[in-house]
Amino acid sequence: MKNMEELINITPFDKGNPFRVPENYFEEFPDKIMERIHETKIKDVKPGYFLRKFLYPAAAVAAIIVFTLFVINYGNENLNVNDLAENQTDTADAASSFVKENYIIEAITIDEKDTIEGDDIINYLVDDNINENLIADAF
Amino acid sequence: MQVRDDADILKDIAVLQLRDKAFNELVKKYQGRLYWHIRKITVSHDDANDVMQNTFIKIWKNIDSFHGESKLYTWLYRIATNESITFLNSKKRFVHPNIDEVNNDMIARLESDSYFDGNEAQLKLQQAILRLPDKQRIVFNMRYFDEISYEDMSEILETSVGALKASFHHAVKKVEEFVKNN
Repeated sequence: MKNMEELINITPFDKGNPFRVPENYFEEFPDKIMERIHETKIKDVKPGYFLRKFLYPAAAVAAIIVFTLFVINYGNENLNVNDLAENQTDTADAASSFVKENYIIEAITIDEKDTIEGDDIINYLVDDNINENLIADAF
Repeated sequence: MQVRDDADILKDIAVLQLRDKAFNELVKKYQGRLYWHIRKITVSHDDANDVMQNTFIKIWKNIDSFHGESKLYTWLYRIATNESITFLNSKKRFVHPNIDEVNNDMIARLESDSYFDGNEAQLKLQQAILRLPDKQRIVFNMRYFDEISYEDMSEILETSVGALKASFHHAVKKVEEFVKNN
């Protein structure tokens, strides 16, 4: 407090406010700020609106495409959704299941047809030092 | 219109249907005090107006986080002070990297400000205040003009009472010196 008294003693001015504001500033400010707040509220809502309008439908379309590709892909191998579910839940009994054995055999056959060439068989026999006599002995 | 208690206004702000009207009431109640606080820091009306708007938008966004641990007015002052300091810092960073230039610019703007109509002595005092470092200037204004207690200032500025007293003491010394020598 001593400092303030000293300051008042050495300065010949009152503490009145020397600043002014434009006319009606304080009368108009509350409405202006509420307007800006309203704009801010709209901006804040926009991401949600964007999600609803574009992102969710886009996600739904993507899910449908993925599902369709999945079904087509497995459909070519004579598998349907039920088969897949059965495979997943009943893996332990897969070997004993006639239906599944057929699928396995079919899958192996398709694989061999698609991937194993005559040269591959010869290369395998040469690499492992297997000759025709050994094969004949085996049978 | 009767000015309601802070507690009543806050109660209405918490109700979605009454929120806008109650917040408008809060703006009307505190706009004067906050404006003059900000104006003394930023000096020009245009800058003060920008900071005022940012301040009230921040208050609007954070009003739900005010749980009455402090007085509402100290909480509002703290937001206004922080917004003012942020404004000054951004000005220093992008417009005038040299602190002396910022102060000189503010003094020049004050002298030509059509919304400043103080007499010669008041102009001299403002010139002296504008030469203070930001923190000392804020402390000086709050204590000398607004007569805010050190305890409330401590809450607003998150500074100890002792440090605030020391800051005010240094500020007064500098102001006295400037007034005597000019």
